[in-house]
Amino acid sequence: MTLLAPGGLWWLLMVVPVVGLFLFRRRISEFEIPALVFWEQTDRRDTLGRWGRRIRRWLSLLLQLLIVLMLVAALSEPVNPAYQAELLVVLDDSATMQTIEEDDQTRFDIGRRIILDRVRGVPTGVRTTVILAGTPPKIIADRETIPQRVRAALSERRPRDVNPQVEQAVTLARRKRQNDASTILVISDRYNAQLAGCADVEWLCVGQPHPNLAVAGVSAATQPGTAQGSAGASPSPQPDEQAINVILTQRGMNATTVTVSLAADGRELARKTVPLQDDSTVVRLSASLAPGDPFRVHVEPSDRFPLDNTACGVWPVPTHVRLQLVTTGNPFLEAALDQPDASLQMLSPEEHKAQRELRPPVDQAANVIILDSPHAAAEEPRRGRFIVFGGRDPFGITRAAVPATDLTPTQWSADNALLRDIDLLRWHIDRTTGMVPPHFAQCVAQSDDVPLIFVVRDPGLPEDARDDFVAIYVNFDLAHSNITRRAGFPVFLWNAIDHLLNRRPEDALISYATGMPLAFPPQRRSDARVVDPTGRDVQAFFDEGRMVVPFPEYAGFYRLDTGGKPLVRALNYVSDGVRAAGKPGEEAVDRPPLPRRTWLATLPPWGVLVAAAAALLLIETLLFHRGIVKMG
Amino acid sequence: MPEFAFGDREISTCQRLVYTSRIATASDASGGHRIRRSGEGADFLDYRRYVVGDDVRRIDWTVFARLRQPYIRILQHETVLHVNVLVDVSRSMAAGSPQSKAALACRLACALAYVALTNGDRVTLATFSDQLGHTLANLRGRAALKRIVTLLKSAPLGGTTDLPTSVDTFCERAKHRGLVIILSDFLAPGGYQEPIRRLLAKRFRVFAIQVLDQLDWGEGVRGPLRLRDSETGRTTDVLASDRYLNEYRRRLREHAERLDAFCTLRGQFYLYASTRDDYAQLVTRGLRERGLLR
Repeated sequence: MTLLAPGGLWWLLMVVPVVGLFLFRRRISEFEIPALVFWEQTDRRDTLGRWGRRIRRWLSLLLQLLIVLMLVAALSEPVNPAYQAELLVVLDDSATMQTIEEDDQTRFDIGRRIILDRVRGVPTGVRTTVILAGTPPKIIADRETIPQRVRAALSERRPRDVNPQVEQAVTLARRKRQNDASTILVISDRYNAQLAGCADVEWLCVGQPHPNLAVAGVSAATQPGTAQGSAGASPSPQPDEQAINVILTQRGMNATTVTVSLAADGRELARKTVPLQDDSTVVRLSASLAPGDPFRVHVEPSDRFPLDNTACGVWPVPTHVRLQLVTTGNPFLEAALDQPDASLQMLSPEEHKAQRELRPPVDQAANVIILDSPHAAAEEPRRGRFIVFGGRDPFGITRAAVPATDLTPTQWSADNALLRDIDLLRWHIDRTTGMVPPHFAQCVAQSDDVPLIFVVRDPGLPEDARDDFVAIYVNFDLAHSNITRRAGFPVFLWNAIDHLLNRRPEDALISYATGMPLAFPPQRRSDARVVDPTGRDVQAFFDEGRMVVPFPEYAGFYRLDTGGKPLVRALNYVSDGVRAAGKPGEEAVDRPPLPRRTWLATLPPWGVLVAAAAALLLIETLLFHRGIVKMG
Repeated sequence: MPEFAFGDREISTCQRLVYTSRIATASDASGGHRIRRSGEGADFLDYRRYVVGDDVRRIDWTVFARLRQPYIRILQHETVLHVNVLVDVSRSMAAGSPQSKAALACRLACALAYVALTNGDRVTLATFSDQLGHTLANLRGRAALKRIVTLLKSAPLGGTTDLPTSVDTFCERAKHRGLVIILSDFLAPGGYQEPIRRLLAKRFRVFAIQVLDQLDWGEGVRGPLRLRDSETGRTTDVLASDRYLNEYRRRLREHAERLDAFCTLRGQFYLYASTRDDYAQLVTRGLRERGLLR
């Protein structure tokens, strides 16, 4: 026997007052009457035998205990292992699942058909959980025991125009899993060898790898000539024009000649034909549009996945930030950097090293490179913009010293843009990496005499080229501090990126990716609205008296506007579960998944108490005070 | 000590009430009660035919000479009534709501004594519990009412009820026949038959007033209880269900009916009084209907 909600066993304590009251009641109260004569003469004989009288005397207690046990059973939700069979399915509903296959079915339809076949084969009572692995993952059937409901939930779904998050969906499925022996069926059009190799995952790939051409992004061309693989020389844009870079990606279509067109208001403004030379090709177009005008970029020929052949936007095109994260694995950094208007390239240290050897101009590969605990010292050329988290100094600028331990920031530059909206008082560093900055470094934060964050510009470069190398050093590994679990972490990270790119705060990205639920304290339902970090209203609903944003798209500061003083909550991302942060600077708090509850368990504790008391009182009244039970 | 009031309001209720002549018995003293007696008295009332057993000395020979039939003269004799009031002041009489049984019994005793005193009758009042208590004997005149009230208010409430012993003592002390009014709940285990028989044997007229409270009928008794006898302190455990209470009430009702029948069949009087009854109604209607007062 397994209990879904073992906390319900606490209600067994109700046995104590029930038995206590019974024993107290058995102490018969004394009543003085004028004369006993006729009371004693009145027939008190009982037709029941001795055992019958005993049972009847204890009937009240037995029934009350039975009610308490039933209450405990309802609240603790016991599950018979024999009926604990479950079907866990993760279905990729990202944009690529719209790809049309040979039989004119999309990959999503194929995956759905596979799930429906499985569901049709399971008996009623098997708990089926279906999770869609888009961004964010969505649970459309949560331990559903009725196959019809699963079918109904699936039939309403279509692929979303989002990226896949299969790994997070599998993590979610593992958390939803009640029986560790159950396997998770993953249906996707991509193959993840690491996940597929897990013993509890059954990976099912749908669709064939068709040749594909896609518009990966459109960004403002700020530096002419920096676009890689740009085909054909294009004249410099006119003063009233804006040059944009259209980034094309392809698979299986190398050397194919494609045509990129820019159109607005039904009118083609620019057109260019280029051959595809690499996995990624940048095509530069120029056009003149009024700010706020919508435009459309289209690439031909079309393919089996036409959705990504077109990109839409609003003029002027924002500057696109290309980030490169060099890490052996850091979900905190990955999530904080995965932003709209930013492309993130994940590299292992080995891949990064190989890429640098192949492509020396590092600043052309990415606007900012984030090095997470680099291990190779003095190997990086001093060119580009870097954020270095701990490890060994890859540029050989700093000196090594004995690492300090157990630190909190004590001094910092309050006006520094790096520390905007950050509460350093709650940072805690277990151990530094022992870097001692050079004399020309600008120290931003330190703990007594131990520098924690400092900015370095190479004085060896010419005056006009000093900004070609800027590195922000964080003198500790992220794993040795608590800042990744703080709401201010993505804020700090993007402060640093904005600082490196010389972007003003108003131009900077103000949103930080996450996918976690967010809850505000109880508010009045009528006039409350939630504004996300980008200033847009987001969908929120009331659940258990709180206002919950089920799928926030960004981390950062959310504002609950009720007409009075707004309430602010910040969100951060953590890898292994759902966490919501309090106000800025507060520690993120684990939020366990809500258990599936019986209707009784949905009552508040006082409601359960009232229900139990009513049941006990009913028994008491019926049995004792109506004279059903009679003492022998 | 029973707490009760007997003032002008209660006295006004008793005005113009007198004992009926059917309860009057012959007495040596002259009083306000006229009774028919052949051969005694001064006032001629009527003639009646001689029957066997009559004293031949009472035959009116003048009438016999005229009618050749024996007739006896009936004379009217005015005698005094001796009213003896026995009030139960045992522990069981302390219960009651809105007034205790003892309080109601004392008020009725005062009223009955007052009626007797205002009509020139003589009153003997005694309290009893396990034995005969304080006694005021041969009281006459309205002024004696104050002594009666004082005695009843100072009588201690306590002890068990022993009606036979108390009646025996009373009979030994009584010097005049008359009316004996017993005010009690008659719930004592000793019974009431033997004492009443003894009084009747002593040629007393008996008027039993049974005073009960709703508590005696089981009001407020419900559920599992340990009942304790207020007089003896004995206890018994009961579960007062509806069925059990109905059975108990049936037995108590039968007890009251048996007491009523016992008195009525012997030409005596019985009155049931509840502590919730109105005092004035009891005096002006209850006692009248029972033929004690008019």
